[in-house]
Amino acid sequence: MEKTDRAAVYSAALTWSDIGSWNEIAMARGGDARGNAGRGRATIVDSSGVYAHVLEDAPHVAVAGLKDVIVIATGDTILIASKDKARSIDAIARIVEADREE
Amino acid sequence: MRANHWFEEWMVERALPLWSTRGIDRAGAFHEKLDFSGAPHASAIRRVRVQFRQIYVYSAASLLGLCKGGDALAFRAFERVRELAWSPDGRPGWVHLLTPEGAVHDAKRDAYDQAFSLLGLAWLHRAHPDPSVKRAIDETVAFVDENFAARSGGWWETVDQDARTARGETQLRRQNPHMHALEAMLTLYESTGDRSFLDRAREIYHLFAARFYDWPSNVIIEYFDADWRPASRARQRIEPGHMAEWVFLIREYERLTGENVDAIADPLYAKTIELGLDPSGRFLIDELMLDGSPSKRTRRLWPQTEYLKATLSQYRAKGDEALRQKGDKILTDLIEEYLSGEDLVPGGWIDAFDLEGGRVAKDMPASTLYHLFPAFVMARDLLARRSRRRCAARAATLASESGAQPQPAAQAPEGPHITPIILAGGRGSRLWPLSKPETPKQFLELISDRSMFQETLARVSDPETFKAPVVVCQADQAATACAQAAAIGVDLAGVIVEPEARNSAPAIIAAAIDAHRRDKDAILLATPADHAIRETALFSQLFANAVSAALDGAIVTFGITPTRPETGYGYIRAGAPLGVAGAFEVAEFVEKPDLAAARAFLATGAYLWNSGLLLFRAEDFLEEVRRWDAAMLDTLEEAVEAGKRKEGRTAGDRSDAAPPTLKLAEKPFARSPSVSVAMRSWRRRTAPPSTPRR
Repeated sequence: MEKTDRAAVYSAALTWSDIGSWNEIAMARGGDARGNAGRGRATIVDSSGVYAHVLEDAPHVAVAGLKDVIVIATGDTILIASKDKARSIDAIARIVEADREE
Repeated sequence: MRANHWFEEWMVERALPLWSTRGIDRAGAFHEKLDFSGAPHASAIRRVRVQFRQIYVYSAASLLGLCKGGDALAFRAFERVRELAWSPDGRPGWVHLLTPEGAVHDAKRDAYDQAFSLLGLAWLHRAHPDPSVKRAIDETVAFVDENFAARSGGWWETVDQDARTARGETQLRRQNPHMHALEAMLTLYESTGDRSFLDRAREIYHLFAARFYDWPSNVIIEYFDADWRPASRARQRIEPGHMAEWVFLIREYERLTGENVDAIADPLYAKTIELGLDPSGRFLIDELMLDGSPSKRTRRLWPQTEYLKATLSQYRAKGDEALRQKGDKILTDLIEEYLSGEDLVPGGWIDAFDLEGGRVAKDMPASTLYHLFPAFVMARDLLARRSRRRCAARAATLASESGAQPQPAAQAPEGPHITPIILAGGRGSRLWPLSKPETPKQFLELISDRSMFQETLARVSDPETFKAPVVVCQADQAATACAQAAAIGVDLAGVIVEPEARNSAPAIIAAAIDAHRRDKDAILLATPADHAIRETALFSQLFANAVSAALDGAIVTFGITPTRPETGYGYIRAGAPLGVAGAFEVAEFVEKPDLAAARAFLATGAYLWNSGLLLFRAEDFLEEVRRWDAAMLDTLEEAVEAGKRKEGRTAGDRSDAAPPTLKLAEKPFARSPSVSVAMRSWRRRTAPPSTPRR
């Protein structure tokens, strides 16, 4: 007698993503013909699937000959990681922050 | 009468009935064209692609409840066409042309024809799921894979072209069949849930982005040599109608894959208008030379429908009101010019004019209905002024027609009626090094120049639907949340502070308790603040139907059609339809599955991504929570009761004063379990049948 169940699902025609990692941000930002995209001062050559996110206080980032990589540059940290690792950046962050404190 | 209403009446009451009666021969196949009085050109040679275009139109019209028996009619045409046009010479593939009597007129196997067969079959598979239809899809796909797939990417124009090229024969390759192949693959994916079609669509999209779309000039290149080098300038033409068609198609690709296509769609759309309009500025012309001079001095009807589709898909993606108004204008012009004429049979059209406005068309080709029908569906869905009453009434009508239990369609109140609850207390650190505990991802400008929290506020800011929002977050995030809301001019109704990080359920329940104390009839929309949704302006329209389900007592979740076997999301399995359009029972909530399970979910087509949005009446929701876990409800009631309240600015106060704040009491809050709402509901369903029910 599941009729009494109150949960209903409404099928929504939305372009939706849960921004759980840098990969979703790269996807939401789109890309050029080779799947490269960037924000801020970045130069990407001979690469594909590269996402570079460069904050204003970070140095200029140049990427050559890489595939499926994310590069995140802030004033004090530069993260370069394979897109495969995007979902475990939180673990990497803990290691880095521990290193930093030493 | 507004243009979209006129168009709806024209399509449903005139055009579909015309082509389903006078447009069909005795054996069940479609006529190639009618004259302006509606009489068939019975002797015209028939293009197989046109048969499938009509099969698409009547399958889709039947699915949308616009043409009773349309699916049976489409299936009968399919059976006739299969008998005549599939492999009549013992070789596989759909032939090109038939005589009116049914003999093969041209047995050429053409890529464009195969693409349209797949479009028609995909829709027929949905409307009339006979095993023979699925078999035809499988056979056609196998035939295309074996004979058309080119080593250089994409499809050949005809079979055996690899061998022909090896013999030194040259034949220009066109982007056009690929446009329709992409359309077919996206439709097949939506019809079958089979992800391999989405992979094929992605390959075609990449070919488009790398070859067909010319990045420097923003136009579509039409003709190529065997290795995808553009043909000589003298042979090139620009077709504004195709450019518009691609805008629409890549937006559909974006909708189904989540890949942002702005970088191409926006400049391509702008270029279509810049190059394509006739001197009156109202209509797209058929064809231009590269220097911009017309190479054909005509403007057909179909480029105008594509112009409308492109404009409305840009509107759907960008939410810019000016685009909606533009769509309305294009439709008005189209109706006045092409669908009106004293000598026209009702439901008829004038297919072409010259650039001076003289009528060129001598008859009505059936092929154009395929362009008009989807333009009509988009106009109906996107140009309509929101009318909740009408939606509710239509849902009730649909329910009674489909034989489902007629449900009293609850009426949404006029004026703002939904209070958004923004769940902004997350502390995720996967977006390190940008995200930090005090500035987690939802407060960062990652996707646009606004934070995801601000984008979330913007989605629920439509004053016709939403009241002022309440934010739930941690103590050290409250100042950021208030400042970011103020920066985009949003007045918060209040802030609820969680004493420690928890999953979504305690936050939603606490907010519901607080809202219910103020207003026994409160309707809440709980929304995460770290999701990206492209359709900002259309977001509130979602709730026209959904709110009537909530008013009927449902706790409404929102499911998204998955586009990949994602293991990071929760899923919802949809059950039986609920009689309110678009709403289904929840058969099951599934937390993040492993890859094998996610692949299986994708293959069945019955599973949706759980977007985390929840719409409900606070009273109904709290009643459900009591049934799930009365102790948790008591605990959170205590946390609200004993919470510390700080008065804030009142409504309309223009000062920078903080909104009213409720800090939940620490001790009871700490006892609440860290769970998500979906998980609780799912657990309850697996409880023994003796669980007392209301």
